[in-house]
Amino acid sequence: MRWLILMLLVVTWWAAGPAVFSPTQGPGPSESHAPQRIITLAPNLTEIVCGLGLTDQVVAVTQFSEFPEAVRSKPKVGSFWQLNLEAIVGKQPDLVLALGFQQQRDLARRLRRMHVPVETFNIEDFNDLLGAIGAIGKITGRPAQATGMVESLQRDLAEVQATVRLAPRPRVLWSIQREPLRVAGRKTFVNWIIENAGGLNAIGPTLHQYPPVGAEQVLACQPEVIVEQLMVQQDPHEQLKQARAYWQRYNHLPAVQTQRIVVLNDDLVARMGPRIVMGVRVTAEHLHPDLFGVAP
Amino acid sequence: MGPQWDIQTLSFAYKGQGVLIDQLSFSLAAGTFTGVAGPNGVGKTTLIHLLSGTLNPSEGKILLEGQSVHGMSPASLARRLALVRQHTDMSFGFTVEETVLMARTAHLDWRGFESTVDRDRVHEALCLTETDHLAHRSINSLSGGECQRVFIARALAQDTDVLILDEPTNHLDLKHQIAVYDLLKSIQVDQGKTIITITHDINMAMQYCDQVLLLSPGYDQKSVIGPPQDVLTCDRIEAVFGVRVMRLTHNEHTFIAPIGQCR
Amino acid sequence: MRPLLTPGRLVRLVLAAALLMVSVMAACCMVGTETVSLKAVFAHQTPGQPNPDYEIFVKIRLARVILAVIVGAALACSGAVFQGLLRNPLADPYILGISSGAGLGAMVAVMLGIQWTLWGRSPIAVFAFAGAVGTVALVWSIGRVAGKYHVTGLLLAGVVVNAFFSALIMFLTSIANSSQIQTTLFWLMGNMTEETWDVLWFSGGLVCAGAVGLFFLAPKLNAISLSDSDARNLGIHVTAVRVCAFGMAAMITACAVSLSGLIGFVGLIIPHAIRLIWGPDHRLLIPLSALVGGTFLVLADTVSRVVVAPAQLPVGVVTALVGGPIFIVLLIRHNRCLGGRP
Repeated sequence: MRWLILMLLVVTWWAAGPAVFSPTQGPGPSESHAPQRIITLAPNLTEIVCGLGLTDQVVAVTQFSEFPEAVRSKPKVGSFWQLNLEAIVGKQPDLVLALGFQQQRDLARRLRRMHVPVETFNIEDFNDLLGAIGAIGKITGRPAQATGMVESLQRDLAEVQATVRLAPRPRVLWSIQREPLRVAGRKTFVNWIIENAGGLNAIGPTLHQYPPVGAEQVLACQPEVIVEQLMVQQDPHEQLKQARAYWQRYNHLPAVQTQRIVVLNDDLVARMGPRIVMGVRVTAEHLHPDLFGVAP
Repeated sequence: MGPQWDIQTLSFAYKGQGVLIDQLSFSLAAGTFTGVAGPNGVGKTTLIHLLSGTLNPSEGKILLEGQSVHGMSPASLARRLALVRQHTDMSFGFTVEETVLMARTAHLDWRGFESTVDRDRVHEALCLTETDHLAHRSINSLSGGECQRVFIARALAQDTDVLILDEPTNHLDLKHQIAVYDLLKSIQVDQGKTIITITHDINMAMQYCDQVLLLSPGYDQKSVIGPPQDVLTCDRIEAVFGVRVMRLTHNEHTFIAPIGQCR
Repeated sequence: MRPLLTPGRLVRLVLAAALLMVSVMAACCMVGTETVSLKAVFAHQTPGQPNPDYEIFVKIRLARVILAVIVGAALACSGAVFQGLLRNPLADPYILGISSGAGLGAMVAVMLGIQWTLWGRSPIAVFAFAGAVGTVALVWSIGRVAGKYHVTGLLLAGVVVNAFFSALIMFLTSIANSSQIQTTLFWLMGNMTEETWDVLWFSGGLVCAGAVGLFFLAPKLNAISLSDSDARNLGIHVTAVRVCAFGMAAMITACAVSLSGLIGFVGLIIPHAIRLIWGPDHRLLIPLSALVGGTFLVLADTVSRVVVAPAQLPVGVVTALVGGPIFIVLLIRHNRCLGGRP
């Protein structure tokens, strides 16, 4: 008997629930005119939007969006991973730009249910980046600026590629973490940077994207240049000093013997944004100082 | 009307082990006090688990008022017989009263709450076992003797015709042993319940029991049941326990005193 | 000394806890990074005109507060049941491998990069739910093979399956890319998100039904929390009760986990706190755990929303940081033993 009552209760609940509390219909999607209140949910998206000359239209960004300088003072709607939905809705945006990974995709779905226009972009490699720039240009009403940006990126990249094309390719070990030692493998965009900068990833194909490596593998791959990314809130000179001390333990490596240990600004080489080509150029300058006429 | 308990050619063996109880048959009348005695490992506890329906016999039948025990649902079994174990671990801090109230689980209505009848039964049981002053204590804070009395109270509150106990005087001092047996005897006499208890103390069995079931290992010696005077003879105790004893009589009471091991 | 549990006392305590929960919910709806005017929220809706106050108050905060209630109630309620069924004060809703099963499901969903949704739920939620339910079924069947010592067998099966699945998660983590790792990590830490009303109704109904079903098993759970054979002698069909109780507790836990990831601590300390104050009777423990667990998670989630604003903390961090000290204070003040003999 009691189970029957229980079942009835459950059934009525599910049947009646949504009917009693039907979601109110908000305004429909707004007509397509150039958005005036844009929120970007990732630093690279901020760089793209600002690069299109829309800095004034950006009403909010995420923490760690620090480029260009003008966005530092913009309100924040949470961090890249931990976004604050009510802060986003409270800004009444007419366009939200998000990345295509799971959390931001879920968030985009919830925003769309509240009739907030959202676009998500998967930016995994350089072509994705160019595509995203084009698409953002289109929806923000700046297609010409977007085309210009894409062309200048392609032109700058081609220039670096042409400079290093005939030079011998040094083997590069790109360390992303020292303890335990992990390096960039072949299936990463770091690998794309190394190859376009005229180098060769010292680590061969691996199962992991960023494989942890042992001393034996480090010695076997004989890198001629070792690259580290600047850690957050580290002084570059301090990190370079530490890196030199650390790598001294492998003093048979060519890179250590010739002291070709480099610390690169992670904004340039770790962020799939418009400055990535500058990252390639900086890397190339370190790999081929003679070709670029800079002191090693 | 036949006997309350009718055990027919009962056999039992644990999985992968030899036969522990072999072709045991006996019957018990309602309202009797039966002691189950025998050396360690002879299957006393196993027998009462079989009687209480916890274990299923390998062969034979256990009939309680003509019905097979292991054919009954746990609830209907719990309204006919109550079991007091040697020890029960209490994981969470239930009070004495709450513990005894659990005896009424099989009697609860669909809302799952005790009626006044249930509460009265529990109160009677607490008074009878002289544990009413402990009612609000946590069961974990009781001494061994108090704990044993509380679990007897719970068995009483279950309001059954049959009470089965596994060594109720285990770990108790002399005074508390006597107290427990006096309590059981008065329950038998006043309320007419059938009591089946395992005991290691053959003198207690001699004084309190109407009949003794002496379980014996091996095939040369059969298990016997009967009045304690007849069952607990010097020869039989020597054969079953391997101990030489003397029977002494004082004021028409018989006592058994061990002398030493058999050579 | 505590009075015996009567229906009247139960109703009084449950009503008081429900009242507390509703007032906490109302108060927490008023807290947030944005300022919301109640007048604007309930003002007449003009079609085609966006009302951000309404959107924030009803669709974001209220939805989220209700979600927290559902998840907190489910976890605390199933924690109480698991502790009783396994007779283990250390048990929590995740003890039978639900956490690692759900984690593995979520990880697989992230790694496969699945895009579709099922009834408005993200692939992570769907896979986590399937992983949780599948793991409980697996642990249950391993525990059955272990046979006679059912509780120990179940616990051991839970530990082994947990370890095995955790190893699988670690393996997948080591070959995943960084955004996949981050996604999974944040999911594992436990997060509250704003769900649609359909999802809230469905899971709220499921959790309510589970809690009510468990409440009706409460007198039997009392006896089972002593020992299986004792419970049987008291007239309880132990296997049937156990299957039902495990099934319902696992179901509402899986539901909670798929909604919010792994939120620790609620399922462990809320039932203990209730036991310390009001005693171990499951008839009171189950409804009060559900209500207090819901209230606690609403509070913890509100803290996680505002304390590092505009960003948010994973709510699992807050439950452990806030819950731990509160629980220690309770333990000292009530000074009663939680398990075993003193």
